[in-house]
This record gives sequence, C-alpha cells and structure tokens, in this order.
Amino acid sequence: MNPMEYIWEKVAGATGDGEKAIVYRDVHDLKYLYASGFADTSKFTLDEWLRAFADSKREDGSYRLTHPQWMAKKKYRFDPLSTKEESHSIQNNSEASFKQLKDLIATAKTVPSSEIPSETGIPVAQTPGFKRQPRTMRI
Amino acid sequence: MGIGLELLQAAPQIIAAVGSAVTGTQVKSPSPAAKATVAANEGTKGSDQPADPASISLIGQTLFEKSRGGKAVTKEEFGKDMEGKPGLQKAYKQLISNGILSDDTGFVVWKGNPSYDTDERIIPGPTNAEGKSSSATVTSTHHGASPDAYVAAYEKDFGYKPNLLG
Repeated sequence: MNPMEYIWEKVAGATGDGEKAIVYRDVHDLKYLYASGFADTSKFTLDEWLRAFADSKREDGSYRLTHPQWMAKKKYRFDPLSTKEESHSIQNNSEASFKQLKDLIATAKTVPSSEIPSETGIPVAQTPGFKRQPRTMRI
Repeated sequence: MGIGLELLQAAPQIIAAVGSAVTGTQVKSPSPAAKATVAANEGTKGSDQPADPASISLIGQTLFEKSRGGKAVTKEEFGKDMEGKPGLQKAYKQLISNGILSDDTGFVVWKGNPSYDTDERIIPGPTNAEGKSSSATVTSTHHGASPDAYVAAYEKDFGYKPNLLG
C-alpha cells in the first residue's frame, strides 16, 4: 500500500461533519512531524513545510486535512526507498561516509529553537552549564 | 573571521526534539494524531531502509551536546533518550553498523573526525573510547581554522571553554 494511504488509514477519523479527516491540534503538531522523521528536512525548510498546510488551517488554529489535502503532502515526506542510493544513506565506514554525514548535517534546514514538542512535553533532563541560544538556528 | 556556529547553536532545539535538556522551557506535547502519524510513518519503513535525515542529524548533534565539556556519554543514557522513538533508534543502529558510532565499551563513541566544513560550520567532533568529547582538538589543518579561533567561538556561544582532551 502507498505509505501515505497507509498513514491515512491509521490516523484519519470521522469528524463532526461525518467526513473522514486527519486533525492536528495546532502548529506544534506540524513542527513535531517535521522533526520526527516524517518530512525530508534535507529538501524542505520548516517554513515550506508549514506553508504546505495553510489550506487546512482552521480558525481555532487546528488543521483539518481531507484525503486529497493529505495526499498532497507526499512530496514533503522523506521516502527512504527513493533516497536509498542517494546521500541520505550512510555507506560503509570510510572517509566518504563521514563526508556524507557532514553534508547531511550541513544541509539540514532551519528549525526555530524551543518550539519542537517532545513526546512528553516535559524536559527529561537538564544539562549543567547549558546556555540557551534564542536565535533561529540551522541544523 | 566569522566562524559559523550554527550546528553548535542548534543543539538546544535538537535536544528538545528528543525530549531532553531544555533548560527552563516547557515544550508542548504533540497530539495523539501527530504521534499516531509518526508511528504509522515509521511502520511504513523497512529495517533495511535508510534512516531519515532529521534523525541522523539528531543523533550526531545529541551526542555532541551531551559530550560537551568532555562529559562521557553512556550507552544507557543515550538509549533512554531514544526510547519510544523508532526513527532515532534506526538512525543510531545505522550509524553503529556503519562504524561511524560505536558503543562496545558501554560509552557512545563518535569515530568521525572533527572539522569545519567548507562553510566553516563546526561538525561534531569525535568522542573517545570513554565517550568523552574531544571536539576541541581541531587543528589548523581543518580548513585553516585555528584552535584558538575555535575555542574563542565556542566560549562566546557557550560561556566556557571546551575541554582540550588532546
């Protein structure tokens, strides 16, 4: 099954109007998806990702995606099959593999700090001497 | 010379993304729908398929952040951060199996070379056999950036000098 269809079947539910849809609570959900392996962060910035959901945004800040709207997100998804032979795949232990990893890190897109939700919503640990950087940063 | 510290500066948000070390900041928990989406997405991927780029970056940066200041990083500690995060676990296994990381000693060891890339961004330095960071062992051979410049930039951003483990 198409992965996007598979996810739709797993996540979409009936909404108040009787139609099936995926509903994300707010923009933090979208940021979580971006940072959790769904989006291809080497190709799309967070801004590009968020803009892709503009047509699904509701007045209360939530996002309601119909099936066509969900399927339209396919191009933003990291597809391991299509990239298996590309630079995302870390090869054997070699100088080339280290370079691959460096390139991957260096080309990853920008994410605003502090706004990516964690699984629990609670900081698990704190690093001694940690100094927060308030700026938008590149990963 | 402006040494880009984007990668170093990114560490807080990356750590936030794996649910740890966000000093004084309450980050919002994702909704059940978002969690279900991530879980279903992971379910579409085979174990032999490459990990996603965000997770690979996250592993490298998390290790770098945790080993900052020469702190040893245990396999157990790292494993706890990855609990319930199959994407990160896959990236970790991939980096282990390809020899970029090792954890045979009980410490997570980064075996890559510290360096600047061509844009002068700092790349995470290796950790030694005890999982301690040696990120500051940058030499002038690394794209012309001097150790002094590296240490100065590090101190400016983090408020203290990195450990020089040699």
